[in-house]
Amino acid sequence: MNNFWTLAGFEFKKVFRRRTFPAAILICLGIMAVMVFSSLSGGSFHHSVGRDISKYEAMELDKAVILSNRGYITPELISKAILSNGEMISNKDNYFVNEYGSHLKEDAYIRYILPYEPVIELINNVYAEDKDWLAMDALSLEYMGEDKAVDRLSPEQGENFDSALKAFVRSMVLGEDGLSAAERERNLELIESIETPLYNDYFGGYEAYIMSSKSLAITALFLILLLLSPVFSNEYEERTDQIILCTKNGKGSLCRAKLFTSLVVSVVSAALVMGLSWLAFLLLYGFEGGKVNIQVVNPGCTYPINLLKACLIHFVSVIFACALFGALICFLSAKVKRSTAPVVIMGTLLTIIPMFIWVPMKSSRIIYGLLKFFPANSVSFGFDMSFFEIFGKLFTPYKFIWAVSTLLIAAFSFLAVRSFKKNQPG
Amino acid sequence: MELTVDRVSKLYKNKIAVDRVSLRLHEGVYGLLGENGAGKTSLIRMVCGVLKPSSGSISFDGLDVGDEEYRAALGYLPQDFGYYPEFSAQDFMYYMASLKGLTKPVARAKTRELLELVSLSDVAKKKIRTFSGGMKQRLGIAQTLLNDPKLLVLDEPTTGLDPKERIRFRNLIARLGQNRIVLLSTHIVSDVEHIAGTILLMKNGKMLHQGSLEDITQVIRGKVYQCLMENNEARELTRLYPVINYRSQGEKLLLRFVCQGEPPAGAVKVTAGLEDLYLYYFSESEGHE
Repeated sequence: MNNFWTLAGFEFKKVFRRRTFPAAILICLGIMAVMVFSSLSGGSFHHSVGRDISKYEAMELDKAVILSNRGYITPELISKAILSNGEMISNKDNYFVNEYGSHLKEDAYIRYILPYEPVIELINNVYAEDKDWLAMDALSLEYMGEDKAVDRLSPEQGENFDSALKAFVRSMVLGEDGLSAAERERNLELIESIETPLYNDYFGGYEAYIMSSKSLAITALFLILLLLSPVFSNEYEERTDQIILCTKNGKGSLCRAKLFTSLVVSVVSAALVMGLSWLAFLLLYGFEGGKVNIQVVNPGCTYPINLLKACLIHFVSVIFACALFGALICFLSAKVKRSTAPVVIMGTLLTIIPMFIWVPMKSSRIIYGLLKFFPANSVSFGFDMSFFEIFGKLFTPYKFIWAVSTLLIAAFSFLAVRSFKKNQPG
Repeated sequence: MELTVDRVSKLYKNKIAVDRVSLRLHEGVYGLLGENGAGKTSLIRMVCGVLKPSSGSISFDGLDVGDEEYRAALGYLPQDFGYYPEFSAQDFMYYMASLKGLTKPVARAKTRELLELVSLSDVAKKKIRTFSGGMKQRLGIAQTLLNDPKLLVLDEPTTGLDPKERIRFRNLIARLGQNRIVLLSTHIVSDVEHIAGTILLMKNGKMLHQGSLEDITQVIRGKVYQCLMENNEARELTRLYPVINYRSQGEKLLLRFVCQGEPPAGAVKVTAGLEDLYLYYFSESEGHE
């Protein structure tokens, strides 16, 4: 192996002994800690209103109430939710009036709604008469209309909930502009695979993790940017390229060792940032929620998966995105011959700018698809209805992105090595 | 053992750094002399395979400069380069040993031996960022020898060394030249004069002369004079001839200069050395030549 492992060891030493390394790690850990704790300190919990208790205690109390109805969302549970809501709205004592109008009292919410909270939100979405939703990603299907279906439904009407849910998801597919006939067909097939009745549980930990996942993934990208920018450029900057390139292994094993190290640093950085944060969220909020169907969170989602699987898919997507970003940084580092600063600037721009570019699916499918490959977009927690279509064959977006990312990683690695080997010291 | 440089040129945007240089080097020490910008470093980098010639070819015992085996036979000390300040001297040597393809036991043994040779054994575990310029230079010399190179290329190896160290390394280089090709580039003429069997003189990218000290100084033999004169006379002489050395002697100045024609009155002919030749070619005033 021509000293490959020894050289890889030295490359790790170079990364870990750089002065920026402890600073980058500390900043990263700080951001992770802030995200985890701010999700709690900044969160709104029903039990914290008017009570002198900590946010954590309020969350625990909310959780205990929600857990009272964990399990499958059966027609009976739907009926109970409708009845409970009916009981609440029929009693005027549950409301208070001020200059802005009539408002539900927090105690009433805790008593009648909180035990059924996700179920009632589902009912309001699935049985809504107007179609006024705003969907951004897997967690943000927001019903924007005035109609609260739960207020007008009878308990018996909720018995067909499972078929109503699938009809609702189908209507979302058919109402989505920009999808091809084949994509609609594939989505309808997916909907048929959704297992009903849906499973409900307290999913605060998963929810908090998913809400923070994009910011965490971007933190991982910046960590990778800081750690890997000097991989090749530092050799130019320090003029060590001269002694490296004239050695036996300088143009072969060393380049492979540098790429291997970069790949490991990228993957481990991503895995640690995402994995540790995920664990921290679950430790804080509880490990419940993995079995919850994604439709409980976003009834418009066509994927027949639960939150654990969705998070795992997202986790793998972040790993691929970070590995691709690492390879891109290596390429830039090898290409920009002078110093590390331009690599950091370019990497930052490549991460930040695409976050502000949004092209609707119906405007341009090519640009819409291409944007998904930019690091900050490919780490979004999203299971939308679009697919990648190549020669009439449909590919699931995340699987396609994984496959193309692998090819791009190989391409950028090849280009990085070529640039380094062809470097002509000035 | 033969290093062949065949009509090698290097062109930068609008400048010819090396102009059709041809050389055939065998075992021994070769001193490459030339002023700044003469093309020495470009030639050396091309010999080491880190710079691609614009035209021409370089080979060592039939191996092309791009071959891995060529690089395996090479030891190179660049003029200036970083040393991974966070590495210890020992780490740096192990790292270079792995780059040169040495196995771990050999790397350990060679590192110990070479750090001893360059008097860095005591600080082997200290970080390079704590080293002085001279210590770094010694470490640089040590790394070139790790793979026992058949072709040793040293660009300004004695820069930063104190006089005692310089003489020690000069002797070491002379010894190394007994069974390998040593190509030594330097500004320090006395280094070349003492150890180089063959002197290569470069100017404006071209190889002006190559040969032994005897051969090469032939050009100015009988043209070097020494003369004791008043200050105002000395100023006039400086204007007319390349002056190699000034030394005060009482109220007067003792001047050593190169003169092609009739020397001034009182000038005495002296034996020409390499420094005289260097000045003859690289004097600030081109008109002297």
